[in-house]
Amino acid sequence: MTVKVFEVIEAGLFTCLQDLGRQCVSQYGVGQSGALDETSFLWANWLCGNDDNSPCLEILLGGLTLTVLCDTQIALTGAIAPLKINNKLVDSWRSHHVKSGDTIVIGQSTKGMRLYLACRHGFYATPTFNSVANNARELLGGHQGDGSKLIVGDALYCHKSSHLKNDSERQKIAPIQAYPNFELKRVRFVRGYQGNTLPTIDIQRFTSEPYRITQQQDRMGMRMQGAGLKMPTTPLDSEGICYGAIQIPPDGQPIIMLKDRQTIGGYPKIGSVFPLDCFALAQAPINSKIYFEEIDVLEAQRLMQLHYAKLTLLKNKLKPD
Amino acid sequence: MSALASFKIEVASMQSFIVYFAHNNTQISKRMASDLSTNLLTEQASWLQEVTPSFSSVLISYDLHHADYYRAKQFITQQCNFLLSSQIPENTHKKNQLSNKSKSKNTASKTHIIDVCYNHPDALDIEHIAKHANLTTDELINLHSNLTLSVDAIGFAPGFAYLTGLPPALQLPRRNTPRLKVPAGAVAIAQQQTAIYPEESPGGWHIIGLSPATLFDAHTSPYSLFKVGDSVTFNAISLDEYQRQITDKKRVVS
Repeated sequence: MTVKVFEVIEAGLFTCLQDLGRQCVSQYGVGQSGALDETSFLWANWLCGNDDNSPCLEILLGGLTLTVLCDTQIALTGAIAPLKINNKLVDSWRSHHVKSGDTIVIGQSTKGMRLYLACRHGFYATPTFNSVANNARELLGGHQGDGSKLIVGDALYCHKSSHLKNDSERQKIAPIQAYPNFELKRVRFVRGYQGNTLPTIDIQRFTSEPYRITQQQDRMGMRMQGAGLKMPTTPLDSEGICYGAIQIPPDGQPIIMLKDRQTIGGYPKIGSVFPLDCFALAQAPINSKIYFEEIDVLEAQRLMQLHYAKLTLLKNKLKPD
Repeated sequence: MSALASFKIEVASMQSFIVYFAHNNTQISKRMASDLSTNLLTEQASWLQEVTPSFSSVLISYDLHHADYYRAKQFITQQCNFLLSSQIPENTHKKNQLSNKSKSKNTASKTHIIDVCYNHPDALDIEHIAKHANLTTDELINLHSNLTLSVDAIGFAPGFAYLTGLPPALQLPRRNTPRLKVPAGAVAIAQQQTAIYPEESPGGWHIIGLSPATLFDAHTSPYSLFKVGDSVTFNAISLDEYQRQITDKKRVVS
């Protein structure tokens, strides 16, 4: 049973429904999709007592206004932007109870690029390949199943209403360690693909010069600008592109492939960005200067497992207000 | 005695490997890639997140919660070795084992006959292609519809298949200026490939005809009409037949 939970009064630049994306679909030419900053996405859900994969709204830069149509609980995470409930400024990164008739206003972000809004029990939409993740280019997923972003007048549904009959269901606050790294300075990558045949000196040059995050970025990928890298010109057959892959097109400027990337491509790749740094890239402001840093695949796995363990620890310590 | 295929497994990311098959005959290395992909997707190991076959490569991404570098690499190596050994004539029993398994699970490669209307008004480039190939339009249609093409990769868009096998005479570079809108069902060529655009989209390939076939349906198995490893031949149909099929499709949907 689903319930109308919000009406969109202001839609923002690009707001869409996301979850953790699709799996085992690339053989159909269907992309992964899913939240760009997975950690913030998870925290929005945990603050509302939801499962890991409950759909949330991913809001680019803010500017979203919603009218509440049924009682529920919300949490806003990710980038920092002013959050007002009924014109009163309240904190992000913690849950709030909202009642039918309330107004939620999310202003423009001042730090970071993507915000995540969860509601209790998760948003509802008809899934495509077991996911509601929006993919605009593929015309799949999202709140209407066709890859469209939110527009004024849209209705959003949740799985069921959440009446807090008594005070026993208190609000939760995320610890400060949960916040994204808004000051990304180094982007770690694992060498791979055609990167293993590159001379060491090229990798050394690549990792010793700064790269700037350009305006040419979206959910598909991020174009970087810097000294550049020359890759061998032997034409490649198209091959699968994994999450975080660093493509080097003929002009030598790296493109980091993100969640809405095409499934295959023929540009050479030197390896892939470490997932945690992919999430951080999605929060880094345009024109940020970063340095690439190579890490070993086993070291990357160790760091990732440590991250999972830390998250579990922090999640279990979530105290109600 | 034909040379054996070989493979190498490269790291692609923290949680992905890419397998490259090699053989003097690329038909064989491409066959190995599509077989590996089919085997992995059929087994559906709990730690598998993505299997992307493309030409002679297979990208495999795995879930770190369920497997690590060593476990994934070992499993993939075993699968590759098994495939390779089933290519050896003495091991025909292994080959039969694999082919029976794939037949029973309906994962064997298919041959598709796809209707194409070459004289559709939206087949905007057919004259340009004929001129480039030094053929009349009729000769071009005859040539194109007698080819057997192989599905070597699916990507760019859901259900968008790269069909390889154009003769040199029909190989043109991409258009200098891509079109903003190529109609759904457009059959187009560029360099060594033919493709059918599943949905209206921008496109830089030369349009040779229009097909009423449904290439992709997100809610109905098998989702994508084509699978890497399949074969395709085109069947020329009249404009009337094309219109009839399109009308029938619309009737079914509504």
